[in-house]
Amino acid sequence: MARKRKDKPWHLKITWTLSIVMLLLIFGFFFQSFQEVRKIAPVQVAVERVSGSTAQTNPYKTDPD
Amino acid sequence: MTDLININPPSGELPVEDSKDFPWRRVIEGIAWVLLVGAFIVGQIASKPDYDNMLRQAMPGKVLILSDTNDSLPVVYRVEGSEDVVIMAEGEAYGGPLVVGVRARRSEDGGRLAEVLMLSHKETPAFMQRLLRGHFFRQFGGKNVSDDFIVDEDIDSVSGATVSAKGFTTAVRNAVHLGAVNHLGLDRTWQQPSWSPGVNEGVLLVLFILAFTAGYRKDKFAKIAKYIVMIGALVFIGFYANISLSLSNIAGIFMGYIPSPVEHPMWWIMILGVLGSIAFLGRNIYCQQLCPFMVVQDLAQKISGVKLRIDSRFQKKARTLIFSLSWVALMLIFLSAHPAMGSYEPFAMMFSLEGLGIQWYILPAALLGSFFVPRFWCRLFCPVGLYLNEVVRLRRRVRMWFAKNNSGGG
Repeated sequence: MARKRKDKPWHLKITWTLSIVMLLLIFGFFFQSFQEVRKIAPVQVAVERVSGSTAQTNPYKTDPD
Repeated sequence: MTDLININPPSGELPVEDSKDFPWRRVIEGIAWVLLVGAFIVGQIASKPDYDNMLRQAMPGKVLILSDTNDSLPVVYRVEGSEDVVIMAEGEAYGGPLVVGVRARRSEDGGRLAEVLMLSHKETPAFMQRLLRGHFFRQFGGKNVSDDFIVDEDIDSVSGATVSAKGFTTAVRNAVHLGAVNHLGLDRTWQQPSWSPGVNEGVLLVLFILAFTAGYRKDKFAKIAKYIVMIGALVFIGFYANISLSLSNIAGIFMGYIPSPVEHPMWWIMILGVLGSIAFLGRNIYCQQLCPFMVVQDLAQKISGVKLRIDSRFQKKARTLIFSLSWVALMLIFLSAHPAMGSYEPFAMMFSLEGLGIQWYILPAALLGSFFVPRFWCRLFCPVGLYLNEVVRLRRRVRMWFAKNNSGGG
């Protein structure tokens, strides 16, 4: 019969801390995404210009040149 | 015996409500569904970009005259005072439709690409970053309009973003060839892309077959197959193709972003393989064997050798927690009509090492967690695992319902 493993308090503290940190980060990501959603107006979507050998611009910028 | 590995709380049963109490849970769930549907409708209405205006703004100093009265893509413009032609067209990438505007110029040998503008895409930012860093877009500059524009033939792909590369190339090809025939008066001398599954599709198929076999058999071969699948998942599905399933795939399906099987056979193999394993084996073989991030977590666990348990109170609420997180993510996805917008998983970033903002912290936190807690991400935060296991549960319920009805009838 399997013995029930007893958790030490510091084990639980570590797992709680890790879980809470991860939750905060995920909510931070949601906030960042929300900002992006607000930034991207229906007309302003990623625009990239690729012409000959010209330098490549960031495709995530929301305003055309 | 259940095959739902303990990635989510074991029971998943909803607590029985006291009939005298007000059914708060049902009310909240109802409101959540209504808001999701509302976000979907608002997103679909609000996210119709004014491509015409974008194109005109992106080409300052050029007067574009609409050549036809097409409301839907592809749309063709003449450039006043020159022989240039500008075509807007669409292609299917992994995350959804991708729209480009292409300016082609008549030349001695037919026509050349003068400019390519990406007007909108639904790809995970990490994939687009990878294409950018891989100098993928530069290949299009100055190409002849009579070229084939086929990935792995005259266009080089970028490993880890193959599907996005194909989507972009398809959109450009559609635009360029339309302009070449209808407006530059050229003959069709280019090849059409054919459905020719290659090595990549073969490898993915073999991985699924091995995973299926390992699920059926219990002998030594099954054990070897499991190891091969694990390595294959990490190297091929993860680092090479970077096609891990994520919330954005699930949301994309609901939004109707289903790529063509001819252009993206790997997407179809992945989706049909995962759903097929649930239908025929009653098992979620993706989470058990094929998820490359699961393999990474297991490796982290092997390295550390530490196995801390999650507080049972936290574990019991994990299902509700993941549903809540994925609800917020889906709201963002539906409102923006962009499947990658709320997808909080670190998979794409892990295997491309490209990411934006706070994603750079989510990945190390997930890895650190799995160093101490076995399958930390899978058990507490992964929406894909939760939803696939819900499908397994649904299958089980349907089977039980049929068994009950058959036994009752006979």
